[in-house]
Amino acid sequence: MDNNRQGAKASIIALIVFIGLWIALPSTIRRLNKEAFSEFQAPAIQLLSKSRDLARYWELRSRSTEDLIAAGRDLARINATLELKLHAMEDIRKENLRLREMLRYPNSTEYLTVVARVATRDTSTWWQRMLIRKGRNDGIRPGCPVVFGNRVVGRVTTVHLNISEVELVTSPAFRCTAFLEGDDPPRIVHVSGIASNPFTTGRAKVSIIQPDYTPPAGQVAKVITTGLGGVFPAGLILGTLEGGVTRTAQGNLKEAYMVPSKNLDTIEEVSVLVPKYPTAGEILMSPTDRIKLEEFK
Amino acid sequence: MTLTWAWLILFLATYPWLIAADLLSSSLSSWNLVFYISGLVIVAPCRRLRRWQAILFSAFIGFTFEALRPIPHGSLAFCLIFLAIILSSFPELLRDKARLRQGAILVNAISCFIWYLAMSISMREQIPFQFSSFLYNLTLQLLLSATLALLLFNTISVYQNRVMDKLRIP
Repeated sequence: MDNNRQGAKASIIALIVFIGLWIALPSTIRRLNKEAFSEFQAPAIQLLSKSRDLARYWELRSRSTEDLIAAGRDLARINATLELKLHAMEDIRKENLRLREMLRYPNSTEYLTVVARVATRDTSTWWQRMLIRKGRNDGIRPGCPVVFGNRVVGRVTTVHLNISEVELVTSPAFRCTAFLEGDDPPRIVHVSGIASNPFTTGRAKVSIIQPDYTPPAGQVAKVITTGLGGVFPAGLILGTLEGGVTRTAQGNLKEAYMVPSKNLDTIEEVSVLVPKYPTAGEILMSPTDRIKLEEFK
Repeated sequence: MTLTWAWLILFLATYPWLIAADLLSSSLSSWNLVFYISGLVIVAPCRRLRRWQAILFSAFIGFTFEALRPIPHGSLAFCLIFLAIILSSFPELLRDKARLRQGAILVNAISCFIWYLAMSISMREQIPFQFSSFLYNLTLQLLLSATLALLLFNTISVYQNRVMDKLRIP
């Protein structure tokens, strides 16, 4: 028994020394350790997510032929409508390009779209995240916006080989600038995720709303990205205002709560917008790209 | 070979339970609670593994939980190592089934408290601290962890003991 206690004492002393060393270690080693454990888990997460998809596939296979015919017919109608819209869009795109050239207006950031399935969701008071089944191998980079249609889901925070971690718009660490629908001329507001209590829907806080702003009557005001932060393209819907706009305690500004435009608890697939060219932030952070920029200059 | 690497084989055998808990958290993501069982899975192995093996096993369990979450890296792993040292050094604490279950509940709740606290400290600049909200959320998370330990300990420990029997761990 005494040997045991002495061994325990020695182990605890060794642990304290090791914790000290761990804190003093360069962050690269800690990051490597984290990366190793993440990569260890990635195949299992992928496998589980794929098996869920397979189960869904077999569930869909069991649908009757009539159901499939009806779904096909509906899709054909939607396709026809969308094709017409596509033609109209092409004309607008050409006109837009012509006008930009005339005004010598800088082109906005172009994105490649990578569609990814949601592997798992992970929510708590401190974080609201999801893992997606695409990673570094698919060209995803940290900071890429994640959307569903024209609605913002979140932002990629960490990228592993075949999976990526996405921080949702309701996550406490999420920050973004936005415009409010019905605010004319549009003025910038600040959107930040908040710590959510258990059994409640995740929300974000919209602050720095100007005191003279009133939401449009008879409809819920949308919160729209500005495109100024360099992460999200302009015009995407972040969410809608919930529960009205209230004055802050100081009374000089207003604030409101925002619910995401898409139910983030049930979403199965997302699109990651990968900038075609490195963003300004990436160029600043990456020494090789900085050298390339110098060469280009 | 088997005894030296027993902790690793046991870790790999325990991993499906951890991923099952993660899947449960994912399915019930609207609850905003983490189905945390990383504390309770170290109790039964700590009774039979050697101290160094228990330490490595606990470290791997802790780092696995932290890897895909924004928890300050090492906070949970070192807490689990500390608890593993205590459990493996004082086997009289786990002498019967009732004590084992109590131990599992305590270890799960303590380690849950540690990562929750570490997270609140690391997020202090981003979220204004509200004591009442913190206490409410923490209580619910701890209650869930303790309940999970109470419900799952028997099943998981029987499974882990069977694996350890196969590995011929004394």
